[in-house]
Amino acid sequence: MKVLERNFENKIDVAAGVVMWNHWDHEHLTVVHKNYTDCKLLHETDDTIVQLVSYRVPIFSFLISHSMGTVVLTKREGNGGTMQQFNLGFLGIPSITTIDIIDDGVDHCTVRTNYKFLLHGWKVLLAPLLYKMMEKWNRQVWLEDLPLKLRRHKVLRAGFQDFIGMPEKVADRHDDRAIECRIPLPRPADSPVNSYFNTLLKKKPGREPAS
Amino acid sequence: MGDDTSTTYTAITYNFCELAELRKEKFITKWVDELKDEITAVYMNDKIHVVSSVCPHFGGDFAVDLKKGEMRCKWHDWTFCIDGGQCTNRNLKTKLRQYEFFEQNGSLIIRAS
Repeated sequence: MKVLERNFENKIDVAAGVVMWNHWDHEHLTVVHKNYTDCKLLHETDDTIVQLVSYRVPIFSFLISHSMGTVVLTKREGNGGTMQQFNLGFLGIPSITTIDIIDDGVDHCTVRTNYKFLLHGWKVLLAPLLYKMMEKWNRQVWLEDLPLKLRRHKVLRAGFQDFIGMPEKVADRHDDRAIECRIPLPRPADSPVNSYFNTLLKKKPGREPAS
Repeated sequence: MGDDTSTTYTAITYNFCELAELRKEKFITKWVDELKDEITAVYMNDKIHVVSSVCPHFGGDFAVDLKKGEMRCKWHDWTFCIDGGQCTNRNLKTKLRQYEFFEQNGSLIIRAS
């Protein structure tokens, strides 16, 4: 077996809680990211999800692959933390992605991503291709998410509240408090990512918005 | 000493755009620092609507669909009726925030407090 490993680091002028929110907002995947074609959750708690996702394979975008994966928030540190994604995806290749969101100052954080692909048998030959795919995937996802995180940070600093909007009075439109992210994010029952909860599993999803 | 906890809010007016420009472009969106909000003015069916274009779900930005009379969030595909502000594809009670406005010397002036 060969372990193919790559590391990426990105810095951004937003609070760590905003980056955390972006990673646990499963509803945006198929709307914002060109490569994701479907996302359904099968299990959700305050530190774990099990998901089924479909996505276009980087470089070979005419191919759609399906993967079942588990994402676990393994460490909370300030409003950042570490999450690990355990996946069985493209050609049945197991992968482990570790994402560290490091809260390194007011409204600034560093995101470190480590990919490990476990290649068995003939799949070792795919290593050079997967090496390039990882870079393309990481770059594209980061760039597609960037405007969301910058805007989310800006509106939260202007007092925005989820499921309510901006404060009614202009004088109330400011918020200097630490930006936190409570997991799971609230989601209406009729959200598309909940459809297997509603039909296949006959159970309630993680958290609905307060009414 | 009384327990007066009432707050006085000052009215703010802001010159948002030229009416001629809005009629030509059909809609104009911009972040307004003075109001700390992103605002969209829409000219549709000979009527002007002025709304907050920060999606009340998670704060996303909108695409404007004049044919359907809707604003669609680019983050999660939630849609809102421009006329009444109601969400049209999710069970959400919150509406788009509507702004008062008036026309003065060919300009669209937004009034907020």
